[in-house]
Amino acid sequence: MTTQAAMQSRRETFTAGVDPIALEVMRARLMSIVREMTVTLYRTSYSTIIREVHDFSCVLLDRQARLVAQAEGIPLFNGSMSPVLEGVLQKFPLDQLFPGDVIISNDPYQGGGTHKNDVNIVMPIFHQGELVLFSASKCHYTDIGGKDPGSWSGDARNSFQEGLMIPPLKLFEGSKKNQAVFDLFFANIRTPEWSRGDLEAQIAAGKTAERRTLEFLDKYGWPTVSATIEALIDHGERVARAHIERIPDGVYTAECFVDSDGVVDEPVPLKLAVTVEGSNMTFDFTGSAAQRGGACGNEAWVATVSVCRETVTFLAGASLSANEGSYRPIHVVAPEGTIVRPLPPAPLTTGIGDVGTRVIELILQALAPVIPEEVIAGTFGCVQVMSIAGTDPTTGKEYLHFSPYAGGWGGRARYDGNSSMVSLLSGDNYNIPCEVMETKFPALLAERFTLREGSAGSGKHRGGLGVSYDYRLLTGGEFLVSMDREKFPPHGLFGGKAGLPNVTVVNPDTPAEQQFAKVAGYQVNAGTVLSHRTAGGGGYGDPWERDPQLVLDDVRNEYMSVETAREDYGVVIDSVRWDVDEAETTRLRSKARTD
Amino acid sequence: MPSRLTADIGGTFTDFVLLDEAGQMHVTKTPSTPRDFTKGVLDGIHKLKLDLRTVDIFVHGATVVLNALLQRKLPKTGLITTRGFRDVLEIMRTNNPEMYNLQYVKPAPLIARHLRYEVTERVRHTGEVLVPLDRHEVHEAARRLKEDGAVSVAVCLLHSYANPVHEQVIRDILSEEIPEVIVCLSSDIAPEWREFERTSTTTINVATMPIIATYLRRLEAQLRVEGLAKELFVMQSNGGVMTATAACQKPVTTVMSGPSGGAIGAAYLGAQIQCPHLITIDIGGTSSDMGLIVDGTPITTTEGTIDRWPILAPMIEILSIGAGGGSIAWVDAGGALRVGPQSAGADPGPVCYNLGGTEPTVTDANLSLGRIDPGYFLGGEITLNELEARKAVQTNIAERFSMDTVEAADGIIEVINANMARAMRSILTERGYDPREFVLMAFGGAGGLHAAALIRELGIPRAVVPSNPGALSAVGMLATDFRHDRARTYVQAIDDLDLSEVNAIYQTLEMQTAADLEAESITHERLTLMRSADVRYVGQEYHINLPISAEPLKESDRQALMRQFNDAHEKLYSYSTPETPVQLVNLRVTGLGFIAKPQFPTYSPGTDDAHQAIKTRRPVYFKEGGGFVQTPIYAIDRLRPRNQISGPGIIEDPNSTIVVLPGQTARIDEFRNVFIKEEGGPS
Repeated sequence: MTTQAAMQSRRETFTAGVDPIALEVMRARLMSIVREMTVTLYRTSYSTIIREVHDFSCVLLDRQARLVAQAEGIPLFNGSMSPVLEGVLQKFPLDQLFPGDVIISNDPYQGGGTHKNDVNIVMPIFHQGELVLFSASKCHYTDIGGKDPGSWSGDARNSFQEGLMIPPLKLFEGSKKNQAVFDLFFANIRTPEWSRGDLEAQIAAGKTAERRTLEFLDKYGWPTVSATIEALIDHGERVARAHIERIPDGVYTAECFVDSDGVVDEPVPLKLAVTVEGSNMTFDFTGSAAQRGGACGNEAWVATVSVCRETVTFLAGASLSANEGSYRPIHVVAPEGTIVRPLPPAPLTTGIGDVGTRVIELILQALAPVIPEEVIAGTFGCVQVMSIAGTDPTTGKEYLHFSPYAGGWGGRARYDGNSSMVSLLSGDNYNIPCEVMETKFPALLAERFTLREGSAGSGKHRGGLGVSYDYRLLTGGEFLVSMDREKFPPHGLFGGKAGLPNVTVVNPDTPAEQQFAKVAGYQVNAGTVLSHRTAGGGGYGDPWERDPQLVLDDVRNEYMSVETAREDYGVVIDSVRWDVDEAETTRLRSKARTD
Repeated sequence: MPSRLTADIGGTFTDFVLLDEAGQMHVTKTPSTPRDFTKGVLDGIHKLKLDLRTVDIFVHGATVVLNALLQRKLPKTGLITTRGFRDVLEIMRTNNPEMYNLQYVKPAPLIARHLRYEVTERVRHTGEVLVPLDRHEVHEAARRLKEDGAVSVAVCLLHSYANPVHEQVIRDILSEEIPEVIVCLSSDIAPEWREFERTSTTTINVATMPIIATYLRRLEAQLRVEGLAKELFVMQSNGGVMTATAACQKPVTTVMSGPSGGAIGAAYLGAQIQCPHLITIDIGGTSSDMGLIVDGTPITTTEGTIDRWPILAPMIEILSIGAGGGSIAWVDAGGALRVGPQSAGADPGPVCYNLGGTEPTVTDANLSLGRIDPGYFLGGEITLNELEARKAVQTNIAERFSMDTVEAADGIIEVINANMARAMRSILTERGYDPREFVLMAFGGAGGLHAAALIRELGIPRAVVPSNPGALSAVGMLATDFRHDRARTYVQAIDDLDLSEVNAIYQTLEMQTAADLEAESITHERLTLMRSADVRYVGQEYHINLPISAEPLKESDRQALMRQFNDAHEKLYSYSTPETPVQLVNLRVTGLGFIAKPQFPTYSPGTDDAHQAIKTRRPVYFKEGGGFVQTPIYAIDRLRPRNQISGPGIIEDPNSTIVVLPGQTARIDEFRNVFIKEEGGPS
C-alpha cells in the first residue's frame, strides 16, 4: 500500500481525529454503562418474567435518537429503541426536557413502541447543563390490562382490547413525581405489585446509567466523547456493509403463510423480496396481506423494521458493534395498512412475536440459495404463549402464570438444530424452573417437562426437538393459548423435512381430550391437564445422507422411532443389539436412489 | 511451628511454596504434566530437596475435576429422576447464550438420554408426598443401569430439597442391587431449589468422584513412598481446605481450587499490609481472573458455572475474561483494532516465542515497547525474538492503520487494558463499590505489566504487586482454613416464619457442618460456625445473603432482619421499599476450622534511594513520556524496604516484570511488595 493510499484509508476509517485505539477504549466505557444498567434492572425487578426470563433491554441513545450502545438483551428489543425516543421527542422536543425527567410510553403507533406489554422508560442525561444523551429501557410487563389476563389475546379485534395505551408521558417532571400517571397506570393492570417493582427497577437502571455517564464525561469531556460516538457509529456501518458485501447482488424472494389472524381462521400470506446491491440491503414486503382484524395477523411497523435489522446482525454475527450505523445500509419497505405496517387501531400484541419470527425466517429462506452455510431451517416460532389464571388456594388471591416456551430450531449446513431453545427473537431468555413455578403458583402441578419425541424434522442435519409441558390445575381456572405454526409447521431446507407442529392438548389420552392452537378465556375445572407441545425444527439436507451411526444414536436415545429411521432415513436398526443393519440399510438406500 | 507445603497445579506451571519449621518460606515451580499431574508434583518436591517426613500439612490445588469437566472425559453416568422429568439436564434453561450466533451448538448433555431413567413418585414444594415411590421401578432401573455399564448414578427427584425420603429409599435399593456403583443424592449434594441447577451439580459430583479418587489415591501413594506421614489436604472453590477423603466425596467443591487459592492469598497478604479492600487481577497467558476482597474477606457466591453447567456450591466469585499475554491483536471488518479473546496460548504462543506463532499478541506488543527484556524472560530460560515480534505488529496492525510500529504496539496494550478495566469496573460497580476505596492487587506472570495503567484508567489510588506474584495462589493455600458449607431451601415470608422450625433447621445444619469438620480432626476450640440466610422481597427473584446471629431467632428478630435487608438493598441498588414484605429463601451454615497462619519473610530496610538496585538502563516506550525514554531497570532482589522509584521505571523479577509509568511512584514495603501510585496521590 502506498503511503498516500494508506493515509486515504485511514482518513476514511476514522472520523474527526478519533484513532482506532481511542475507539476501543471508549466503546469499553459505553458498554460498561449499559451493562451496569442491565444488572441493576434484573437484580432489582420483581416479576419472574424479568428476573428469570430476562425479557428486557437497556440502551444509550443520542440527541438525534440514534442508538449509541446496547447491552446484551433481546434481539427484538435492541433494534427498536430509536423509534421510542423519536416518539418521545415528537411530544417533548429537546427544549422541553429537563434534568430529572422520566418519560414512560408503550404506544406502538405514535410512540414507537413494539407492543403494549413492552413498557419503555426514557431518561435524559444532562452534563454541565446540556442535554447530551438518553438512557432507555424496555421491559415486558406481565399484564397491561385489556380483555384477558396477561394482555395476550390472540383473538383481540382492535388495539383497545389489548390493554392500556400510554403515549409518551412524564412520570417525573424535573424530579417531581407525577402521581396521577402512576395511579392511572396501576389502576389498569392486573398485577400492580409486581409491576410497581419493575417500574422502580427501570428507573433505578436509568439513574445508574446517568451516574456512570456523568463520571465518563467528567473524565473525557463531551466534545471528545461526542466525536467518538460519531466514529463508533461510522464503524458500526462499516462492519454491517462489509458483511452485506459478501452476499451476491440480486433479488431474492420468498413467501409463507401465518396460520391465521386469531379471529378468522384462514392463512395470512406474507411476501418478501430482498434486494442486495453492493453493501445495501432492501427488504420489501409489498404483496403481503392487508392488515387483519385479529391480533395474530399484525406486527407493529417498528417491530418489522427491528427484526429486519436484527437479521442482518445475525448474519454478521456482530452484536458487539451494533449501533445506529449498523442500520444505515438496511432499508425496509412496506405499504401502510399491510400486516407488517398496520394502521391504528389494528390489534397486534400477539402478532409481534409470531409475525416477527416469520419475517426473520422468511429472510433466511430467501437468502438460503446464496448463503446456504449461514442460514437455518424453520424453527418452532416465537413464545407460543399459554397463560393460566386462577385463584391461589393458599392465599385466595388471583394468580397469573405466563412464561415463554421453548422448542426446536432448524438444522444447518454443519449441525443439527438445537432442541428446546427459546425463539430467534428471545435471545438469553430463561425458562421458569418447575420447582419455582410450583412454589409461586401452588395451584399448578408440573407433571411433565420433557423433549417431545419424534418432533424433529428429518434431514441430513435434523431439526431440534420441541418440548412437552404438562400442567395439572389443582383448582379451577382459565387459560389462553396463542400458537402459530400449527397449520404450517417449521419448514425444512434443501430436502430436509418439516418438524411436528405446535399444539396444546387439554386432558390428553382421556375421552375428554381436546386440541387447541388458539383460544382465549377458556374455563377449565380442577384436575384438568394442559399439555403444551412445541414444534420440532425443520431438517436441513436430504435425510438419506445422514450418517447411520447418528440415526442409531437418535433411536437409542428415543429422539425418534425405529420406524422413522427406516422410513425417513433409510436406516435399519437392530434394536436388540443396538446396531445398524449395514446390509439392509445399503439395500434400502440404494433402492430408493434408483426408484 | 508445623511445616507446611502447598502445590498448585496451573495450566503451564505447578507452583510450590514450603513454609519450614523455622517459618521460612521457600518458593519454586515446575512445568505441569497434564498426562499425569502427579509427576509434576513429585518433580517439585525433588526440586525443593524436601524430606516429606518433615511436612505436617500438605495442601494441594487440584485441577483434575475442572479438566475432566472441560474436556468432557467423564465416566459412564446414569440418572434416576421423577417421572416426567427425564430431560431436565438436556432442556437446560432454554436460553440462547449466543443470541446472534445462528451456528451456536448446545452442549451435549452430561448424561446421555438412554441412561436417564424415570420412576413414579412425586413430592410437592411443601415436602408433602403426593405420589408414593414405586420401588419396583427403582429395582428395574437399577438392573438396566447395570446392563448399561454405568459407573456412577445421580439421583435427582423433584423438590427433594423439601423432603429427601424418596431419594434415600432409592439409594438403599441401589446399594442393594448394584453395590459397586457410586451413587449421589441431590438432597445431599445440593438441597436447593431449581431442578436443572441441582441435577447439574449432582451429576458433576457423581461423575467426577471416580476421577478425583483415582488421582488422589495415586498421588497419596507416591507421597507416602516419599515419606509423607500426615493426611493430604485439598483446596476448595469456597476458599477453604478439606481432607482428600472429603474431596473424594464432594469433588464438585474443588472445581475452582486454584483461583480460590489466589483470592485467599490476596486476602491474607492484604491483611498483613493493611489493605482490607482489594480488587485482584491474576493475569496469565490466555485469561485474566478477577476477584474482590471486602473487609479482608473474598466475595463469594452461592453458585457458579463451568462451561454452561451450573454448580450450586459456595465459591469465591471469580470473573474470568479472555485477556492475557497471549491474546491476539486483530483488525475487525469495520477497521477497528481488537485484542482477544482468541489467544495464541502456550502453543504456538506469542510470535516472540519462536514456536510458530504469526499473529501479534499482547506479549509481543510489550516486548516491542521495550517493557520486557528479551534476554531475561523466565529469568533467562527462554530468549525472546524481539525482531519477529515487531515485524508481526508492523505487518498485521501498524500498516493497516499507517501507524508506527510502536504506536500500534502501544495501542494493543491500551485496548487490552481497556478490556480488563471494563470487567473490573463492572465487578466493583455492580456491587455498589467505589473504586477509590480499593487497592488493586495484580499478580500472575503478567500482572505487573498492566497494574500501573489499570489504576490510572480506573481511578484506583494504589496498586500492589506482591513479592513472588506467580506463587500467590500457592501462598494462599498455606493460609487457608478448613471450611464446609451446608444449605437448605426454605421459602417463607418473615412475617409468617415458624421461628422454632427455622432454629431447628439451623441447628441441624450446624450439627452436620461441625461433624464434617470434626471428621477432619478439627477440635472444638478451633471451630466456628456462621449462620446466614438468602433474603429477598416477596415476588422478587434475586436475593441478598445476610449474616444471621448464632442465637436462636426470637420475635423481635423479625423486624431487625427486615431492617437489615432493607439497608442492604438500599446500599446495593440505591433504593428500598420497606412496605413490601420480605421472605427467606435459603438457610445456610458455614463452618470454619482455623489453622495457624504463615508469616511472610521481611527484609531489612534501606532508604528512599533505590539506585543500588538499578542493574541497567534501556529505552522503553511511554506515550506519556513522548516516546522512547531511557529507563532504569531495577532488580527486585536488590530493592530494599522504603526504597522509592519515580516513574518511568521497570522492576524485574525472574518470573515477572513490573512497569511504573511516568507520573507515578513506586515504594517497596517490608515484605518486598511493590506499591504503585500516582505522584502526589494519596498513599
